Amino acid sequence: MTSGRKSPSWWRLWSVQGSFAPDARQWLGWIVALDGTRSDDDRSWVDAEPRALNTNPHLFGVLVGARLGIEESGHADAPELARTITEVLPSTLGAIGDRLIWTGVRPAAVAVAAALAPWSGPAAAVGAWVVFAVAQGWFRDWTFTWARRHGAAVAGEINRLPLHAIADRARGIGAFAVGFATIATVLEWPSTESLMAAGPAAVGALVAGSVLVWRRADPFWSVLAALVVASVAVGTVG
Amino acid sequence: MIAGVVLGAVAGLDRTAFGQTLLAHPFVAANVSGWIAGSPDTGLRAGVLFWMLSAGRVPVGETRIRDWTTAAVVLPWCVPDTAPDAARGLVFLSTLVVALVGGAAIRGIRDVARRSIEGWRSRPVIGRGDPAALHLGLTSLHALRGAMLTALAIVIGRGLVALDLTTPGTFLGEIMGVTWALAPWALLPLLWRAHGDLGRSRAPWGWMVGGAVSALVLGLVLRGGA
Repeated sequence: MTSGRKSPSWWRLWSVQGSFAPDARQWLGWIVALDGTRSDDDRSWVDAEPRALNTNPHLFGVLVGARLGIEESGHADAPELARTITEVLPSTLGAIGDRLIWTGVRPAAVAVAAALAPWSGPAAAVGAWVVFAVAQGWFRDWTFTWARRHGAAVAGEINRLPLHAIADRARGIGAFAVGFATIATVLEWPSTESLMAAGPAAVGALVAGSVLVWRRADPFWSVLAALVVASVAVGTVG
Repeated sequence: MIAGVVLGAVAGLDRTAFGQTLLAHPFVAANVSGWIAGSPDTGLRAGVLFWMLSAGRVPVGETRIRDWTTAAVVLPWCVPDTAPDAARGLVFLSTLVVALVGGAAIRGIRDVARRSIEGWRSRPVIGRGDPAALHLGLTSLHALRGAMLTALAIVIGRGLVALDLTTPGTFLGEIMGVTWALAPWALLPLLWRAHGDLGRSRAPWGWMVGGAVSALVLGLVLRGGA
């Protein structure tokens, strides 16, 4: 272990998923990120790393930062701490990040854009994309620096950040926007002659889709089956 | 069409390989695509449908991978805003095949990654080479996949529209028109369940109902004002 590592280039932190594989998961992305912190070509350290690694990509910088912070601390037990944090932290970050990003902020951003879209057109979607991209870029950078400063203490300190509260708030906003967008977009769907003739079929498709979805059948095939059957029935009768 | 292919490549990267900046979300991808293609209305409606189909799915570590991103990029390039609903319905159903093919291609790239990583690890340390080169090579495959699939799907989709299979009054024309009209109704439960399941309590359902009532009230107010 050496102290005074350089920060990895941003693309190494943003592309951890690029070489995702079924067994090793994000292992190669992890190796590439660590390799970017070293100045020599000796890669014998690679074989000491875990054989597989998986975490939330938006919080990947926390893992890299914590590892660097430990290695730069110069403590006698730094190698053991580095090994432990690499094994334990990914699943913790995965759980937090999935809740914060995948089921929190991301769907909320899209739902708000969808609710505004009938008035704004594509600008709402573009705006949501730009805001989310800038925010997550800042978040990745800030959390990397924060984790590097805290080192091994990250495992405890991360629960002091208001990430769970942000996730809960985003879910509420997202659900409200979904309800709003449902009325704003679906009820304003262009009514065609065929749909006017098929008012009951619209209700039938909604009921059939609901039953299949709630029975947790594969949504792709079950909902499409409901759609196609309803369409053929209405098209034939109409 | 070149702009569409470039967008397909960038969105293919953004989907799981690089950044995950929201561009690859089907709603955003369809709207951006529709804007560039000059068919914003088709883009908005395609975005809504693919948003519903993809709701609740996390684009990382999926078991059933479907490439809704490429499907969302393709649709606005095949049917302009002036196209009849039947043509939109036909291309919409066709792009579902794109989602399946794209998903299979992503699984294929991940399998290539698995074998490449195993091969890299099995070599002696000195002969392994720079891991970043392998990593970037595998990452760029996602852009290549997005570009190639988008180009192919746009060509096929435009060909389908050019065949004029959905002339109003014909059997297929009637069915495809109804498909487009019914699609949001059939897919809506996917969106509701996804957002209802995001929380551990029933609170999201209350928020959803609140949002729907707000939209209804706002709609009544706006129409009353008009």
